[in-house]
Amino acid sequence: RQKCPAFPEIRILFQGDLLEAINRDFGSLENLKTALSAKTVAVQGSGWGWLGYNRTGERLELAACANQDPLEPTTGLVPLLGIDVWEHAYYLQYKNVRPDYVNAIWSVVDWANVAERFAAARAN
Amino acid sequence: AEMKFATLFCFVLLSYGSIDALDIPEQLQKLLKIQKPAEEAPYELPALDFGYDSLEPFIDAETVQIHHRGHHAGYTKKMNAILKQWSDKGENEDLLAQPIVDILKNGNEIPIEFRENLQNQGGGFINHAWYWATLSPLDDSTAERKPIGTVAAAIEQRYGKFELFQKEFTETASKFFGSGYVWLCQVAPSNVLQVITFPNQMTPFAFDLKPILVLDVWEHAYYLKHQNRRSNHIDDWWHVVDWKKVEDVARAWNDEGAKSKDEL
Repeated sequence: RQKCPAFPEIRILFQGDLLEAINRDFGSLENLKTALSAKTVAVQGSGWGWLGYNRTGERLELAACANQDPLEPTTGLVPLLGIDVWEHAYYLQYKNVRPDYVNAIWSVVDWANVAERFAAARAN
Repeated sequence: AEMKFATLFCFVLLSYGSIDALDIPEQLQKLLKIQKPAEEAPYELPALDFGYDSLEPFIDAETVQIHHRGHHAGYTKKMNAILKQWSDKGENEDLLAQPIVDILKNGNEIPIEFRENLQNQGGGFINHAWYWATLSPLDDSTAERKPIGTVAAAIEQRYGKFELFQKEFTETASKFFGSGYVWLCQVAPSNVLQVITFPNQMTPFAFDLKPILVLDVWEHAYYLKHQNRRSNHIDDWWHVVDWKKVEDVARAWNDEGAKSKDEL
């Protein structure tokens, strides 16, 4: 995706209510990134870190799942954004330095897609 | 399916406390280079018996180096950090004074705030030591790599012939899902052999098992050279398994001393 000169993520997030929900449930986008990065890096072995939507509680939540355990059947959360930390997702470029990969992945997150999933999850 | 059942079975029994975790003989700890250091000194990263490029062309130098200096060293460092935090806390000092292998045998007595983390990091420290301990470079004097001594006899007794054991081990390693290790263990008390997998950094000796050989199938063990082709990694690994070392480990478990080199 082409980037706007300033705050591309914020521009996309303002297209929906996603940024409002992030601010409400995490305090800020930076807080979300910090928390999800930490949770994802901490996965033991193979797995994924997730931003998900709790339909019952009507809020965003974070989760980590082992191996290929799917988010919704495992936790009930609707998947909005997943970060794969099986070593195959990063090893050739980042070797054992998983934190560098997780920090870098935020540059290529498609927030428009995340916002669409969020809107769909809320609508259901 | 049989392997999953065996692992689950061990889980269940351990949780009910009806399996005695084994003592790891001091001699075996020395062989693996995981014995407790003097006084309050931290554990050191076990040194390899060979250079980083010595396992070429089978295991590539970059993998051996990152595996040892990145992953194994990372587990060692983090384990030491947790042990230090625990020491600062001053709780259950009798257990803390034990070698890490004995601490992990008594997982339920590790203070809860350190337990899972220490099992992961300590497991990583031990498991990688086991992996390196049965590998060696090929040299001119090496004929084909086949089991010797008591291990050879046990394999023949259990599997009929080496090739059948190798097939089962290889298939188990290929099918294993996620991060983990494939172990060949003697099962107490009869020492019958069993191929068994454990996920992540779980350690078999906490489950009445005496591991004598292990293959690391975490992706970091092979991804640089083989990418997703784990089968090629398994094939490569067989070339560098040192059956003299495996025999030494088996004898160290069974308290017969590491005599295999002298006897040959």
